Amino acid sequence: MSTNQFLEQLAVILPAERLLVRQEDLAPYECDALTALREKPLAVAIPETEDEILKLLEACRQHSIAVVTRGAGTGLSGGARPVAGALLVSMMRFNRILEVDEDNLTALVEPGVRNLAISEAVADKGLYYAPDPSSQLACSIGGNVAENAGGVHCLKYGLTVHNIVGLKVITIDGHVHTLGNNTLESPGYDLTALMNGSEGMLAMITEIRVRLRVKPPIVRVILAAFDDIEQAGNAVSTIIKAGIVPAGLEMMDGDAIKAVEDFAHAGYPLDAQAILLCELDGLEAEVNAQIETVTALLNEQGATEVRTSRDDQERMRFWAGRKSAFPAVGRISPDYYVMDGTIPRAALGTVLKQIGTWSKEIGLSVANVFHAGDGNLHPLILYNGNIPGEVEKAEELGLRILKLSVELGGSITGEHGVGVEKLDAMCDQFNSDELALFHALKEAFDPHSLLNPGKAVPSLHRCAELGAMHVHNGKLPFPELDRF
Amino acid sequence: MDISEKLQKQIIDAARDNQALQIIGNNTKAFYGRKDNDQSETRTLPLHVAEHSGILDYQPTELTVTARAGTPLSEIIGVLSEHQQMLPFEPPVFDGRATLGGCVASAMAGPRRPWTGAVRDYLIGTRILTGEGKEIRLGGKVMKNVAGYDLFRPMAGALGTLGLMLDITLKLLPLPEQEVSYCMDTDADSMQQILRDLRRRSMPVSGASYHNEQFLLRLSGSISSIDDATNYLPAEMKETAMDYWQELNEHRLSFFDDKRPLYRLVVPAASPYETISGECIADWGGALRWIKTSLQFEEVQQQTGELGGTASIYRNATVGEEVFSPLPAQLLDLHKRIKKVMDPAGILNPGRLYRDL
Repeated sequence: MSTNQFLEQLAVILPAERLLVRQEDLAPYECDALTALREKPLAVAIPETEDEILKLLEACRQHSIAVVTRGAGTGLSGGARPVAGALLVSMMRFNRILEVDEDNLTALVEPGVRNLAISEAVADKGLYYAPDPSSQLACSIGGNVAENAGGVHCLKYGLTVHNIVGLKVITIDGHVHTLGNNTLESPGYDLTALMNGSEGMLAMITEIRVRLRVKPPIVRVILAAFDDIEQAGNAVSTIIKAGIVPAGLEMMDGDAIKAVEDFAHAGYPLDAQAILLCELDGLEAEVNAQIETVTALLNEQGATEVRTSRDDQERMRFWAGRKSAFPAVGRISPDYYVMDGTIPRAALGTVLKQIGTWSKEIGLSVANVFHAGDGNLHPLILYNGNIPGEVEKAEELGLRILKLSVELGGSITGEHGVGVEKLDAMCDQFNSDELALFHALKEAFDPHSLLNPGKAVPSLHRCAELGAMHVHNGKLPFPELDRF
Repeated sequence: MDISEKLQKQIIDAARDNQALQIIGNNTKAFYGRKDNDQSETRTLPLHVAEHSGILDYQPTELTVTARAGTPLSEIIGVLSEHQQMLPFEPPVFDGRATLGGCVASAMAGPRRPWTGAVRDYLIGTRILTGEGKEIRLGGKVMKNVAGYDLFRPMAGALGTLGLMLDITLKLLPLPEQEVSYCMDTDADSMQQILRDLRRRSMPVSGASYHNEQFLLRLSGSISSIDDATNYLPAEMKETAMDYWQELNEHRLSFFDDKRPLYRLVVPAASPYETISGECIADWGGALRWIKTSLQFEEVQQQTGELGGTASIYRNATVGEEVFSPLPAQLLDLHKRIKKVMDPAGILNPGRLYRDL
């Protein structure tokens, strides 16, 4: 089967402007936001209808061509990075909001709709869509589902999976499945949950039923500064222990604060070792009572400064710094590497100390931003890709941090996904039985491994061959596998 | 006590001998799910999990608890309430004997469900034994965790057909500062209007039920927010006893004292009540309907489908009959393939969800 025959078949399905084959047209699709890893696809298809997708999949099956599905390409783990010889399918023309059901608080949308566009579309009804990854201005809801995206409001409003009520998906065999419905339950297994975070490996998503929420009447943010990051961590624990579930609870360390203040001028105290942003939302009387309680707790825990936003503009300003952490760091360093581990919050002090030690040992700086409410840590490793060896050093430090996260009972990825970036780290979080189970599940959906092959779950041999593998208590991991 | 090894051995033996197993905690939900025609002792062997009990880890400042599957819910609820925390989905406890494993496997959630969420929304990890007896950790101890496929949330509601849960980690919520119950005589449409109005104002509703032309409402939250809410309740609403909600959740109301099949409908909350003839108690603000009717299951399903929802037979179904809404053929096929991955020999609670699963 020649690729020419395949491309000829595609040319019958899609008009020329939605089938890209020239090298210069393929370039924008060769990576997602993990720009270090690039690969040009065989071609880029931009379907507009379910029927076109079915025909594309048929052609791919016939010619054994892999399919990589892409939303807005804002992913940070290479989930939408093309595989060599694969067809990249962009879902961005699937950009309609099909239905808004005010009564049942749901909306039916297509995967190419931008995350923020959903909230914008229902704002006049006093509603919104809660998950707000930092890229929400640009990222697609389909991509959000594929990665089970998070954001700063997960503690109170959950991850994407907690805000998706149903999906319409197409499996590689060309079957269209409607999962979930417009009520609080549907029969059978919860395959909607299974699809969330499946990174384009199990099926293509063509429709998404999202959960809408009523906009809270009042939203306030408290900004607190600390001389010691462990103190800040303890403060977070006391807030939760007091029975308060903030809408958001974010932390930044000294290095991150300096970088961000230079860039966003949010008014962060430059001499603080840590700042905490605590967002509270709800009815006015309730929020005011919570502000009082939280302020008292923060002071008790040693905050050097506590400020509460007086209006929405000030609230946006407090957040502006945190939300621009990545570009701010990008300004002070030629390159940076974003990590995404989750740790139990009680271990924050331990982890940061260890990162500090390794940072000195390896010779690279690390700025830390932290979803303090849920333990999701984003160490930003600063390096210069032009200096030989620094990329490798950054990766080495990154892997050490992820392994530590797992050792402490956390996860290698809180919201960015595994993609290609964290395949090695998966060997640390899961044993061979667990990885084999994941492969068996993939096989049940996609026996010929045509959907986003090689992503998200490492092969057992990859794990066995890893040079970075270490031996615990004299026991070799994956002992049943041969080594060469 | 940790009886993982004993359970593992039993599963491995059963898989080898092609011996179907019936997973049993304290057997509080024996009435629930589909029953195979052949119930003789030689057909399925009980797999007793109740002994596998005990709270393993409780971190109030992390809002998480990990416990073995055989732990009674009442034990967990008791420990949580000492720290002013709760299981957010308000599961029925069946006189206190219901276990954590059975709770998650059946995904039963109480009156609070529309406002706090489902069982699966608070499930963040579980250690299971597959149908081959392999020990697998799914999810973990932290909520922000997207590594690997999400095979743990589907355990909720799978009725044990995808694996035996050994330990389960749940996310929690703080107990509300105050709870008050109200009731008024009114029609279903007015109830929906009142609920819409309260919702628009972000009032702390945590329960809404409709029965015998009476609307029962529960508010839960801070004292100030409940105070706020009372300004927006119709004058006819009167405070009433709190125990209604437990009586409803545990099916102790006299409505449930009935040998006829009890139908459970999940529908859009504002669905009309006249569509399906029979007696009805509505929970979840109208989204959950318990129906007693002379109609056959097929007819109930069809009419429920027209409302945009699904129906199941919750109790007193005929042995051998399907009790859950049928799945489209291709989707059932996908279910079978997933089941085969988790339980190749098909020994874990076969037929409990659907005949072919």
